[in-house]
Amino acid sequence: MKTQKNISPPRWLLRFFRWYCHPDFAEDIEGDLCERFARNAAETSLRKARWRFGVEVLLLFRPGIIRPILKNHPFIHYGMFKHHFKIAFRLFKKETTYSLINISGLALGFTCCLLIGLFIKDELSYDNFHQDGERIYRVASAYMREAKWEPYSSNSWLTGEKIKTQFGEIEQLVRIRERQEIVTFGDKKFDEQRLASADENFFEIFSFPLISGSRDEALKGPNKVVISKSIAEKYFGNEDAMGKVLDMRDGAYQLQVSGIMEDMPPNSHFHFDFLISGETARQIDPEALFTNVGWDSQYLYIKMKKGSDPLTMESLFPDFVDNHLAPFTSGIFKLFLQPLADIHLRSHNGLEIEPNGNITHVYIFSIIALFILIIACVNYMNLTTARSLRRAKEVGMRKVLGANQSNLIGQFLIESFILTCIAIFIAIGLTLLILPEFNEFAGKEISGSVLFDPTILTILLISPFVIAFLSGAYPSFILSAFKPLNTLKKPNPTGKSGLSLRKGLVVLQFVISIGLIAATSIVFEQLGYLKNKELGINKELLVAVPLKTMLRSQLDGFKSELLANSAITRVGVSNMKMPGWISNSTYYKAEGIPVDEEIRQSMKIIRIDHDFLGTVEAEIVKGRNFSKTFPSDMTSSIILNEAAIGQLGWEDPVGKWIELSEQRFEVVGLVKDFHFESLHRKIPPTIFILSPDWLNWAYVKVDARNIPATVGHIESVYSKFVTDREFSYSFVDEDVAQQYQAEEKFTEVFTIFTILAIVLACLGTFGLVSFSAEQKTKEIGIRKVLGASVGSVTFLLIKEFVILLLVASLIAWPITYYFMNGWIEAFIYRTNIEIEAFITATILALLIAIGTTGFRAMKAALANPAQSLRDE
Amino acid sequence: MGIYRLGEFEEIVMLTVAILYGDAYGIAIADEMEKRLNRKVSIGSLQTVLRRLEKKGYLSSEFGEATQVRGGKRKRFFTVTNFGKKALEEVKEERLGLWNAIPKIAFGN
Repeated sequence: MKTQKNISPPRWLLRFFRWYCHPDFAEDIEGDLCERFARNAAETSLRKARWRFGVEVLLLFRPGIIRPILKNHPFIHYGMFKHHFKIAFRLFKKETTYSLINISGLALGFTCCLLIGLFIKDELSYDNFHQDGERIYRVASAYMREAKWEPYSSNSWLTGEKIKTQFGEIEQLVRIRERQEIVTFGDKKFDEQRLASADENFFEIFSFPLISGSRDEALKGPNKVVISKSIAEKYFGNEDAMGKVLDMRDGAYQLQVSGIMEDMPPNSHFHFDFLISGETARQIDPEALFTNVGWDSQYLYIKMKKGSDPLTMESLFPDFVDNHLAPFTSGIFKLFLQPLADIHLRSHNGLEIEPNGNITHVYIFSIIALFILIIACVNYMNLTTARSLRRAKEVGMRKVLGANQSNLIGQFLIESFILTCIAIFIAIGLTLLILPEFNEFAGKEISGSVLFDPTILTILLISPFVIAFLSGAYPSFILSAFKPLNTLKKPNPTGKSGLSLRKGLVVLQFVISIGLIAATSIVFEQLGYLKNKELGINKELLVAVPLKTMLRSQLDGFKSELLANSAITRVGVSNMKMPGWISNSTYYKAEGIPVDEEIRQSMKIIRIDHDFLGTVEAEIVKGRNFSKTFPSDMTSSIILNEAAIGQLGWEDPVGKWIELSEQRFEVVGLVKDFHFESLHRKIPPTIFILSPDWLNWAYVKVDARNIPATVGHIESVYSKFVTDREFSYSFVDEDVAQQYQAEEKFTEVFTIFTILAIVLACLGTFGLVSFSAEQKTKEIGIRKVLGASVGSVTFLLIKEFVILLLVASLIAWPITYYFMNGWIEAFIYRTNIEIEAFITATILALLIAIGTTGFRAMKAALANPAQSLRDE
Repeated sequence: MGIYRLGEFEEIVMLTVAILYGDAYGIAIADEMEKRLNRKVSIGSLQTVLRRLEKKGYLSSEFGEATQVRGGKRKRFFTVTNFGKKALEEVKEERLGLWNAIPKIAFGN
């Protein structure tokens, strides 16, 4: 037998029991347990007794015995819950202004976030609707130019063929070639832009749904075409389109409709209305397109086999290029893979099928959405905490009547939850209302039903809880911590509690507002810079006319007929659209410069006629322009731009020679650098060469007077030379502005959200100043009695905000500078970030803040002191 | 007769409390039941039923004096209330009524 001392039940089990047992039962049950344990220990062994004790303790762990889990929880007390609702609504009625400020602030904030969220969701959803999309890649290419890789989206037909046979990792490879054609059916004739030829396995890689036709057969064999639903309606109305024959390029070839597909969804990175079978393309395209690895006419998409690694495949590309793509070598040409889902946001190659989005914008807008949400929540926190001081008596009374802190926290959280829910409902309504305009503005096709898609719906359902907690937690802790004795005794609580945090939050709001204002003005500045920078040419009154099918031998006739009109002063022709993208480049040998196989010196090349440089008013710095008085210009002269001279390092270029594809040219002139391309690209070293056969675009300098008549004249002359195509034209200055449309949109969006953020912050400061005016009613009264002027009282109220704003400026300036510097650095041609932007932002914020607070402060200052001092 | 619905275990517990009149606390009840009915009773199941019966008003309880045994904890003594007595009688009547209604021939004597 053990001694008496040792015979006690295990401590920890006893403690466990005491923890879970209902306090009313604990004593006698514990007694029972001990009694039985003592007896067991005496009758059997201590070990057995302990074991049994443990079993008993475990068996006691049941609903009838354990203490209630949620003590005094508001949700259990239905009556209390109902009461909280009632109080919330009474409060709303009693303090309508504050509540409206609160709700509208939150609702505005949520609306912004919702719209931005929808935009981002749409941007991120590009191309993720394809089955096995994670195995689909685009094979893109890059050329080594001036020691840099220049990426392109396209490749040659033959490259695709060779990749298909050389890489076992590939399950499918499809080649797509973009086209434009004149399509005729009966009396319907349209110039279609969204055509493509595609290999027969197109539908095995991409899962665009077919309405009729077979996925395997539709693109098999020659003269087949799959058209989109809307095209079927456009050409055939209600008739069945299947089997109908479309005439292409004025009888050049015919296509039979072998399938109808749904229109490609807006969130695809390409949209084709016609898919022409690859066999057809084989017959109508020139033979060189299929044999020349340099003719990068095709977009290659591959679907990898399950489990194969794209990185391994990419590592094999250099060898592949060396062995199979002669004359290319891995030093000057490379292939790389782009995951399908990344193309829209992350690919910025040359020759993209459609303009892509930009991941940076997605990030920027996410940050703005977050900022706006923060401002809205901060408003709520500030207003509620400030206002709460009025409810100090309520809190005191509740506490006296037995409410504890968790009851009160619960109550205030419920209040914030109710307000948040109302705000979210308003925000959903507003979003649905604004969505059509937003779509038009953002160039999107987001439907309102997206709001009810499961993920968004879940977020919408969860967010009231999260936001109610975020914005309601702080006020409810402050409120519930009031000492009942103080609040009941003192007629007016001081409002000091949480003051420093409130100030901190106001500073945060100001930091965001000032930062956004400064950022907006920098964005504006940059946009203005892009739009107004001297291009080195005169883009005004310049009409660009595509020559289309005009016989190039008749070009001189066309020009001289145009010039017969006195309103037309000059006509020049070039092979490329200006502003546009100089896609042609050429390798060269130059006098006194050794050929470096590593770097592969190359220059861009633009083909022009004698009058082009004169028409655009580019300045000849040295030497001379091309001239008809030197017949040799036609065959052996070139003009270089300054960037080209810079690359060659020549002192005096005129008279030196350059060799292009084994042919020697003499440099006759040097033209000042001018922007042929958009300002997103650096002016490239460029060769200008006379070349009558390859010219595509005429540039006509017109008189400012009566422009419509002049354009009419150009049209009538044009239609004399070209009968099978419509006349079209554009103004070069408008085209130049067009290039910065993306920036313009970005600026607009940025501005709108900045303004919203500022409005929200204003609402908050207005609420706060009203509160502090109310707090200081007596003080103001006494000051006025003692002779203070309206101005000094107003200043007293505003002073605090002004100081906070200045503090905020100090924080906002460096942060904004850092981020905007990063943004602007991405531009090749950019303005400097000047200190003015920041000073303006602060002054503007100051004016706005004084404007919103000053009005309220003035009202307080004008109040009759007799009135305010009497009030008790 | 739905008002006095008692489970089998509940009935036994109440009867035992009545038997131990004045001395019915947790372990005593359990011991008595084990002795008379030859079945194991855990404190957990017994206490749950006791609390439930008390909540329904069939039993009432009060604390006794603290003793040296039981780690100085007081005992809680249960008694059957009038309401509980009525319920027990009701159950008994019901059973008897059923017994009496059995024809002699059924059990073979």
